Amino acid sequence: MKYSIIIPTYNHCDDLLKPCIDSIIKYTNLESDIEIIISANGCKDNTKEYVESLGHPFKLVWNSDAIGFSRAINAGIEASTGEYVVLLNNDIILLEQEKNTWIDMLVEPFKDATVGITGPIKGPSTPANREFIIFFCCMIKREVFDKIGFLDPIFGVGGGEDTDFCIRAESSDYKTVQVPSTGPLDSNDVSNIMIGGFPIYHVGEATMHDTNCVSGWSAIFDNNSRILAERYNHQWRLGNYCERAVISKDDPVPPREHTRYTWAKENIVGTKVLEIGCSSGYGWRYFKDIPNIDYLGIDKDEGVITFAKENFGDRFKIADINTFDFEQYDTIVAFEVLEHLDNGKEIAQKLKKHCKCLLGTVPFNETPGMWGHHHKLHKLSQKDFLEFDYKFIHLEGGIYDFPDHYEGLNLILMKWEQGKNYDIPINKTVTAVIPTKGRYHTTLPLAIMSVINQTAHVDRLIIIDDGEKLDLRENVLYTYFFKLLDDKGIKWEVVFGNGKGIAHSHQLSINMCETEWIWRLDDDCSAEPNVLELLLESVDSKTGAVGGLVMNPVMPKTNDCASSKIKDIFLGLNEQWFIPNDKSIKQVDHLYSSFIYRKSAASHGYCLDLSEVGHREETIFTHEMKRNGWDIKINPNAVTHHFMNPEGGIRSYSNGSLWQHDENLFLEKLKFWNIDADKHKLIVLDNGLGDHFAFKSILNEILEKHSKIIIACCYPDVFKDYPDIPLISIASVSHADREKYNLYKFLIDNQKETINLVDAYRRLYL
Amino acid sequence: MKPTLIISPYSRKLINGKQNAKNYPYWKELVNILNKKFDIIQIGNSGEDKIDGCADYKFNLSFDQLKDITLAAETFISVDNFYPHFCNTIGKYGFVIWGKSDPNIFGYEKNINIIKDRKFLRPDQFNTWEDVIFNANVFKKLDISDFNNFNK
Repeated sequence: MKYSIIIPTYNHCDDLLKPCIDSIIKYTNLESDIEIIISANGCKDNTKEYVESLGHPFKLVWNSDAIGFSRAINAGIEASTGEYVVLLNNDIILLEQEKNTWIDMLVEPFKDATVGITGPIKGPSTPANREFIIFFCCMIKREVFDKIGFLDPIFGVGGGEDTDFCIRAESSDYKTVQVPSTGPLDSNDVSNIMIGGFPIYHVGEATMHDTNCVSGWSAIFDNNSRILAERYNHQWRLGNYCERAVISKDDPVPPREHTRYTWAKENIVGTKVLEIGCSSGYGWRYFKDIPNIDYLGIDKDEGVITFAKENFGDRFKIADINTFDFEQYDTIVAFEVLEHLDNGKEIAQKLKKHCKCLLGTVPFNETPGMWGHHHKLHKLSQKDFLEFDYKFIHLEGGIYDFPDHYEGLNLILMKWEQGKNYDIPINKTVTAVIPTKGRYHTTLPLAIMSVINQTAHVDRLIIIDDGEKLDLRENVLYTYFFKLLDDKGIKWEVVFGNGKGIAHSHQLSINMCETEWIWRLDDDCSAEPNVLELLLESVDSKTGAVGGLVMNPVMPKTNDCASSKIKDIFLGLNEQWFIPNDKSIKQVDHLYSSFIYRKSAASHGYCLDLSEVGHREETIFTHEMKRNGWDIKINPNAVTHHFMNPEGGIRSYSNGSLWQHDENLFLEKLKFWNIDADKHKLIVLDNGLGDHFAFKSILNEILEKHSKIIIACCYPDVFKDYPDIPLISIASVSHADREKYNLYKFLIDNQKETINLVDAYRRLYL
Repeated sequence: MKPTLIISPYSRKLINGKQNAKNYPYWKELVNILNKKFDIIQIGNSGEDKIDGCADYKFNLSFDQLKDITLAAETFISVDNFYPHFCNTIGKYGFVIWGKSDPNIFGYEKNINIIKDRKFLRPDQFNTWEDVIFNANVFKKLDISDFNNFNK
């Protein structure tokens, strides 16, 4: 058998099937090697009687249930024997022609052995983003079924199965050919008759639109479109609704994408290249020709990375930029990725620490919502990315010095090179912020007065009252303060806090502040008059925050063990508390209490999950700033006095569970930051030389239990044969710890039983 | 050549200048008894009285120096001061003469703890020594028989 014509049908015998069969009989040579299979499913009308009355070469494949288009076709194919299978919908009518013209037209291209499917219309599928032969009329070579199987029944009632079959056939190297090749048929809107080079008329979806046969056709079609998109349309599937270009190894590259990668290829330094937000990896199409290139592309999206590996090889990795373990690279490329990150501006600065050259793009001045919810940063301009050279990519793909569109359709093209001097003026406007609670008449006046007396100009003072919330304009003392502030040209404002503590108060100040710098001062601090001037002198374009010394007048002034490394946080000896031998400005991991910080470096905000106490709020705030790429510094020449006023204060909550909550949260942060902070066990030897030696006799036992200890003692020489143990002066220890670890207090508290001195130490520390 | 015996005869000087009640009052007699059998080295700080009859006086030693001579000596005799604690850390044991302080609290079992009578122990063992009145009667007057167990 040469030809098997298969016609699926579902009711509509008289109005569709009969005219269809009539036209076939009229315009087909049925004496030739041909069979016509009517695959009837779910028919309740006269279809069966009609088909059975037709006789040779008509055959009936009967299924009493409505099994859907694909299954009905497949049943017909199974019953067929022809070398070529013709699929015809029952809503076609062959138009006037010489007998067999239509069959001859369909079979003609099969002279080329690589042709698998022919048909009169090859059109686009939007969901699949591919062209396909529409199966209302087509011819398929039998071997195609043998090789790729039948139509996929997942498409159910119908729609999309032809697209899917054609794509699968093409994937198996069969060509799909439209006949005639001169052009597709056209639709006459008036007659709705298909006209063109192929002699056929197609009603189109006649059965599908019959609600007696099919209900919810629109939803069925949409669902099948989704299946096609999931299978074949990487742009639809991975493109965030066109927000992201997902380009395969064969797809054309749009102008802007082409421009930026061409530019990147020309500007890449060295050979070790990291591309952040690599999407489908099509940058490799440009970079692969760079000699000896060592390229890694990362993206947070598993889907695009899988796609990238399939298209461009195993040089891609799923990674979140905020947790990625950066190495050192010659060049980092970050095209249209920074705007996706809440901390994108900070990340741009951080990346500079990991490369010699940083190339990036972000949308210029994009209106919120323009590119959907995936973008977290909007209205970006050059000022958001300091220390870069800038150009602009216009929509048509050209690179220019200036934008030609001001609402998100241009890209800022940014390039930074290590060692190049980017001379950017630093804005040094300052808002001083004093959160306060219950200290109107104790230390708050000292803090305010120290702001007034600064040698550097303070633009604005914000007092955030989280306590009694009185109208201070009615208080005589404060009327003088406000008058002084007016005289000094310092705008002032008293704002009532929300009662949620210090972290919320500082966050409020960020939101209110319009200056580049914010100077935070506690309400029991008094800054020396030159503090702000010295701190501002310490900043450069990379500086996120600078603090000075924050000295408690009754505490010792020096301590060699002081550290502001985050891993030493539990040592409890912040460098800001002690006068160093070397008074040069130094980089630190975090700051304490009082410091200035750059508003644009604070987009990460304060940790509002902390309790009202806000324990470690400044540590978390400044260290996250550092993690975002900003420098955090101490200038030890700037001295602020911290009176540690035991009365009042915004942290004045006696509920220990709040402190513990915050400490637990901080421990979680450390874990997230991948910092194994040294947990030193504090040993306090506030006693005699003999007591020191008595303790020393169990030191090894203690070291077995506490691998890291710090000894506050009166006779440090006793422990000089343990050089790895930090020793601090007993005067550095808080009163609470001195009491907690006082050996003789312990012995007195337990004097009902006779405890040996050494055993007492064991009980205290083991 | 006689074996070496180290004596540490004094507890720390009190700020008020009074005699520390932990100091043993019969060192001179004791040294006269023992120096026939030992070369006695007195350790301590400069300014402390030298006990007649000692073979040598080593004052203001560093802890390393003190460790060296202690380990080289046959044994030591000390009052309740830092020295028995120091010796304990280097594994050296000897004789400790107690008065009003309790060896069960401040002493080490591996030493020979010489105490006249526990009834002389002061009731509050953990107060400072500044105002504790020195009383020679709380100490045992020692003779050679008290040191029979030198090999301990």
